[in-house]
Amino acid sequence: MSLMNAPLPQAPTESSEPIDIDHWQKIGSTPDSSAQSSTEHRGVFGQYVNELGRQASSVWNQFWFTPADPATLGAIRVLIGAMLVYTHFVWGLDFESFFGPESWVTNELVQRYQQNDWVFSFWFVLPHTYAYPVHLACLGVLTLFTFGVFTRVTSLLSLLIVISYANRLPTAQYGLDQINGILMFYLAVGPSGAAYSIDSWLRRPKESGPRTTAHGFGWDAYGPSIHANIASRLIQLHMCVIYLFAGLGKLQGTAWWDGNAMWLAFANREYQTLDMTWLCDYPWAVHVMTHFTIFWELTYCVFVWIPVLTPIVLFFAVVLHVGIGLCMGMWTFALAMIFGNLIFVPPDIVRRFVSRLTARRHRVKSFGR
Amino acid sequence: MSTADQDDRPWDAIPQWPRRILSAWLLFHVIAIAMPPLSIPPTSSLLGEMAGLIAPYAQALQLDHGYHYFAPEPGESTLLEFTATRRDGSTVHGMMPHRGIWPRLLYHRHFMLTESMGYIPEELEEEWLRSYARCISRKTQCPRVELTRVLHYMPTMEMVREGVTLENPDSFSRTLLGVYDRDEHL
Repeated sequence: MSLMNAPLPQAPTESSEPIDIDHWQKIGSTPDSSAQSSTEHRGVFGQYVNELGRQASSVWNQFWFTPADPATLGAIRVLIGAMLVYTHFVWGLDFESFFGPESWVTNELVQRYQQNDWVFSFWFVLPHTYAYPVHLACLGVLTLFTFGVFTRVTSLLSLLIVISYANRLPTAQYGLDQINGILMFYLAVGPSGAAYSIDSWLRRPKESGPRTTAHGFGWDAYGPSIHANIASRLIQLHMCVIYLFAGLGKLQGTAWWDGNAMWLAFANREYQTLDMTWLCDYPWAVHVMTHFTIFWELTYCVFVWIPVLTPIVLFFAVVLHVGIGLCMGMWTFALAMIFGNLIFVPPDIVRRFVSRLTARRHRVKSFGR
Repeated sequence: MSTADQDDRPWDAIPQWPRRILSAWLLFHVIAIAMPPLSIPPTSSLLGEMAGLIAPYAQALQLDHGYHYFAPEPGESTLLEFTATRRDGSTVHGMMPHRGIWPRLLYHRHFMLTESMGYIPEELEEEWLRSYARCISRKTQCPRVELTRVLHYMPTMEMVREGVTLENPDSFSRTLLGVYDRDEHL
């Protein structure tokens, strides 16, 4: 069978008609014997391009513009919002050293460092007299965002806050701040206050009678939307980009090929919070961890989309990041990455989990009475 | 449009032109988040130039990251040792970061500040160190600060099997960066 006669894969299409390549060839050819093969090929090619465009358009529309339940997005808002409150609170523990006129890197110096970049921070223009009150106000806004109060406004303000802190202290940042910023951007783009928020609670159905939803409090009063789907898809794609390039970057290093890279991480005293140097007696275990890390990072962007493999990919995401938290003390980074991975958890599972938590809380309250 | 059509083609709820504009932005955005890691050296001049075109968007939104965590491979740590001298001649020694910094996130902030000494542009290096010295001077109330860069190397598995510890003095390499006096340089 020629390649052109092979059946094309069918996208989940608008039209359910099978693609008949033979039919295209019939269209492309004419009964008139004067029709030349070039005309025939142009016809077939044109039909193929049309069909390719139609299917690509259909797949694109289904991927981006199908309504999705905002439950997972709402859950991520709560978790990342809490992480942002904590992260920004910690800046305040040594505020003068990070934002004062005699800070580690002064305001003027950090602007020169980034003079060729397209960056902005309100810290660049804020007089130092107002710095601490503004810091407290920022913590307030981030807290409101976490609880989902005026989320449309507080999400945009939170994004401005996250970007401003990041640009004021670029050399004190690491992976945690990257994932915080990335998720914050998509939570501001999408309707992150549409579930598990004060906003949605205020919009809960007011009429008396039994509630039609199983999620009684009305934390999820907003329904599925294309808007929620776009934000979720963007987070999903960005997680794939992160892991793909984390893996590709490692392929340039010898230690990731000879199996010793994980040892170098374990043997770094400055990162170490759990002594794993006993693994020197089991080099094969270090090699397995090194090779598996690369394999997992490089294949994440493919396997995570295959429903039957998604739980396995996410399980290893949790294992990897909990390992980073335990062994290297980077719990904040580890948790933020796990929160990002949550985007691949179907909203109905999130809803069931939250409902169970809520139900348990109810039982405890009833018992208390 | 019938309800059945809406179920089959929910995207038709968005008029065609706004959907096309939105699609164009989505495509651009996905390219924009992939360009910064693609432009990390070694890279082609083509990718470098493309990343340059997208940079205003990616940088303004804080999306211009390389994601090269522990890549190309986990390397030695860069630390900052200081000796601060008070006016009466007594001294304060310290290392940044030190494990007493709590919470751990604050420790990592200080660790990143010392790690960044490895990639500060040469023309800013002196001023950068002066800024660090000024901050240490303020924190210790000492007018004179001596800074030393410390590189801490990791032992191999064989070395640890033979009894070498991670704190082995030979694993540290020191370079004096300078002496900064608040009354003169700071």
